[in-house]
Amino acid sequence: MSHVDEGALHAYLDGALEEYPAAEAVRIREHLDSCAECAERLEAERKIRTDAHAILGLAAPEVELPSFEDLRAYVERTRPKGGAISVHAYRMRLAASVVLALGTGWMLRGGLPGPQGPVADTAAESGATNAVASGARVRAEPVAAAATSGGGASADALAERADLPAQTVVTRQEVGSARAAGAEIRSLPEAEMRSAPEAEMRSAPEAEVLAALDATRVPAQKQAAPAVAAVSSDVMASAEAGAGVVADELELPEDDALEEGVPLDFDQFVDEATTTAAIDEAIVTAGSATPVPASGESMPDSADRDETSRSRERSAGPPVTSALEQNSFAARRAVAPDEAPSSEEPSMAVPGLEVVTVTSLGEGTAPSGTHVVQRMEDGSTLDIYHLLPEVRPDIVPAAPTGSNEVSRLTESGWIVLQGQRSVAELDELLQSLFPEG
Amino acid sequence: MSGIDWNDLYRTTFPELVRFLHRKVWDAERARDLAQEAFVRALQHEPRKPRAWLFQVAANLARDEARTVIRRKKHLVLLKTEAEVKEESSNDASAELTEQERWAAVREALDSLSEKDREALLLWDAGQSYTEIANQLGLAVGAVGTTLSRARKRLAKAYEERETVDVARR
Repeated sequence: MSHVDEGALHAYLDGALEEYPAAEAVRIREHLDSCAECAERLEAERKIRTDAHAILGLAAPEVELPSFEDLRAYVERTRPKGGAISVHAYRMRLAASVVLALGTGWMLRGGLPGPQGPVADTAAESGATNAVASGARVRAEPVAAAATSGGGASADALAERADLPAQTVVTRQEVGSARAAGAEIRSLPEAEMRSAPEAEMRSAPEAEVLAALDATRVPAQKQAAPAVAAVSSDVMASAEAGAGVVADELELPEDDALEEGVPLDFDQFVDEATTTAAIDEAIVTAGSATPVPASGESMPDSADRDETSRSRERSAGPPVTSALEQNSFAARRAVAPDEAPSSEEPSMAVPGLEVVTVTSLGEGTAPSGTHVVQRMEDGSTLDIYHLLPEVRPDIVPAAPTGSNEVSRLTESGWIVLQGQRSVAELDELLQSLFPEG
Repeated sequence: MSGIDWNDLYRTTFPELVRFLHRKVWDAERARDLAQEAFVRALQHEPRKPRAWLFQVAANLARDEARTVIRRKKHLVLLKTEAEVKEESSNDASAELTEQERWAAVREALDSLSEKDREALLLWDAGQSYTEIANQLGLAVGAVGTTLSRARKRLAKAYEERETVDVARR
């Protein structure tokens, strides 16, 4: 029988054998009971352990425990307005926004008119104007582009694009969806613009959002699935153009995130509309400028596409890297000047290194983060995994032979770097994701 | 709010967190500030595994010199402390010196360890389990004992060598 190694001896001394596999723990204990040599080694290790503990104890300051009540009071005072939002609720609200956006956007696209009393009315009444605004952009992207240069989208322009009576559109704008045209959104202060989607979602109670969701049911039920997939691509494209929505905010709802009682067709609509494939298609277009249409669904004509493309270019920040400057807003987030990362929000990519690919991680309705591949000076690649909160780093594949790995837990989730560099060098690269650090 | 007894967690973990941080920043006041900052964040985020989360955030805080708010606060504290110390220090200058020397010796010994060994040792000394250390450092649980074994040996050896040098100087 082999002797017990030093690591196991220290685990034994630390009372940590319980954390070992049971069979292994039993083997170690039995061996220590029967092997005089290992018992002797155990005593030597015990002395080392005691010495080390004593040395560390020399540098232990006396700790005065501040009042927990004061700390709690401070946290309550400084808690963001509206309180914390759970990931689950956040996803649910986001899903509600996306679905509402799809429904409204489809209506503006010239499809079947909604029931009397436009969706926008219901949504505006419920405070879900963000969702409506996003939805309007689904179809009004060329209009939004025009608004960028012209200063505002008129009701007529919207009506023309959507083949809807002008008065209908005016009504929608009157109820608060004017921001959908993009001009006003762009005119917001940058900080406000960045926070607008989340702030607005938080301002809409879930019940009200769901009420707004119900309002989309009729058009949604009449919507054909293939068309929905294409519309979702449009949503993503328009989100890139003006919404300021970042990639990791596009988390998909979990299966149980939808309220019970919603008709089957509606569920299907939601599933189709928020399928990861459709969203990934929009996110991972680092090498392809336009979303791929679903079969049977017409894309905007070439003029529209060109305008859309120009609109995106206008809305993007100055290019930093070749791949990032294309249409992935996940990537753009890393370089856009108005998204300058803070110490709490790291960059997606190491500054100065070419970005090869940006890929969303996860499957189905469980996205887990973003994988950025960059090329280093010597031609080797650097893999950066930005994991969503609550996603553990063990989903990241092991570093290949010859590569090292460093990781760090941030408030927005784990970041894992892998590359053919020493741990210290990788750590420096990791630090560079936090420019203030 | 989750079922976590934050008051109890705070009472049991705060001192360990301060000690853990102190061996990274070597400034008791700053270690306390950072520990409080970590708790503030924990209360705001309410993580599912708050203890491990606290130590990870504390490690990041200690490493992240970009925490300008903390630094600014620290500077203010330093100014205040220095003013107070000038008045009070004459009485216990020798004691202060001894403590500083002691800390310097431990710090030097700790600095001789690799980052991973040092981190494992400090986390263990702060009461983290092997599993928590393994998760935090990206190690297998079975490798934690080996890491700690190596770290303890090096620490003891480095400290002993420094003591030897000090004795020779005297």
